Amino acid sequence: MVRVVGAVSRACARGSPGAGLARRADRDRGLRPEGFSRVFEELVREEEAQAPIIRRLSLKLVERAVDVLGELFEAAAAFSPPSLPVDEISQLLPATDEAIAPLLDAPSVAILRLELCTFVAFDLVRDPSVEELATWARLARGAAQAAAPYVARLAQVSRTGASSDLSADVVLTEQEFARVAELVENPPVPSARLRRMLGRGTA
Amino acid sequence: MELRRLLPDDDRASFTCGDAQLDDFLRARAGQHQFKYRASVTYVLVDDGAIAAFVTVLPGTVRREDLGPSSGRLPPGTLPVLLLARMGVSTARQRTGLGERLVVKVLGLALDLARDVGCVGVVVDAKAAARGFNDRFDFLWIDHEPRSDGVAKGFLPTGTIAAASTV
Repeated sequence: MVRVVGAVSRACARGSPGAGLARRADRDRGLRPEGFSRVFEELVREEEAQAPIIRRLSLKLVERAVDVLGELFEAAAAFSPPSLPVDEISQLLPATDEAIAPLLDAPSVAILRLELCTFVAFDLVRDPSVEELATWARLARGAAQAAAPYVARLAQVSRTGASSDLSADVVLTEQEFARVAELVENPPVPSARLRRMLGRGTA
Repeated sequence: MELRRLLPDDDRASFTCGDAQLDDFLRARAGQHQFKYRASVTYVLVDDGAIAAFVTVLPGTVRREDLGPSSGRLPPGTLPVLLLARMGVSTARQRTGLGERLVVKVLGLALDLARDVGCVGVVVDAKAAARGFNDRFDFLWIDHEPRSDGVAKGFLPTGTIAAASTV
């Protein structure tokens, strides 16, 4: 499966429009993101067990690199095929939040993450040379920079009201969490308006 | 006008509030979340058999993105909250106080939740146009930096709700 998915990923990264990924995301939507993650982790474990130690180290480095580079590379792989000029890449990107939203529901993001991880891991496992990966990364870097303003919007869209799914997990920065904790410990005095609303029993 | 939980036979297809995403949520997702997964509950205001407004709530948690050791006096782990996840008022009934009735209902649910299982407050994601509406209920905006999509995260502590309810 690594080879199949990896080959597809390589094709996508080299020139197939991002819409192809989105279509495949639609087809695979029945699978849960957790399922994809598990599959990928199992594949990596299998490869680790069979690979010489130097490749095992490479896999760990790749995993870490993918974590660090995160969404920029995801978006670059998904929406900005690195073999195209920047202006053509820009033409491929959706222009409005409404157009972006359907492409970035949680399963789609999970699939894109899997695509990228598998693509990179497959290349390193298959070929000990990192030249190809470096070439791809250099190409992707330009696309990622061009896509940066969009990536910020995509990241927000995928986490907020655009999705039909409800998330019960609210993740805050340390400063935001500290603000909430402060409000919990020292709740503000309610306004007269709120007192009137809750006092008149309209609920 | 009746305020109650959504029922399987309620006519959700006819509801429109001017926001396609909210309309789609009520039509396609709200029932599934409530009746199949029991993951959220949607309350509706019903007038003459038609849904005039709805609000969807679910219990949730607030946590730090970095789950390392807490600094200073921050509590560890996560905090239980009630999420005001979706709300919409039909186009024909907007600006008639229905939204206020639903929010008051949600604040009452938060008090019940706090008493029965624990809940430190209500969290809402508000678009720019809805911030003024949420300001009326004393929601406080907790985003450290403005978000590019214009959505702001509001928080109303249970302590504030309780203080307002006991006066």
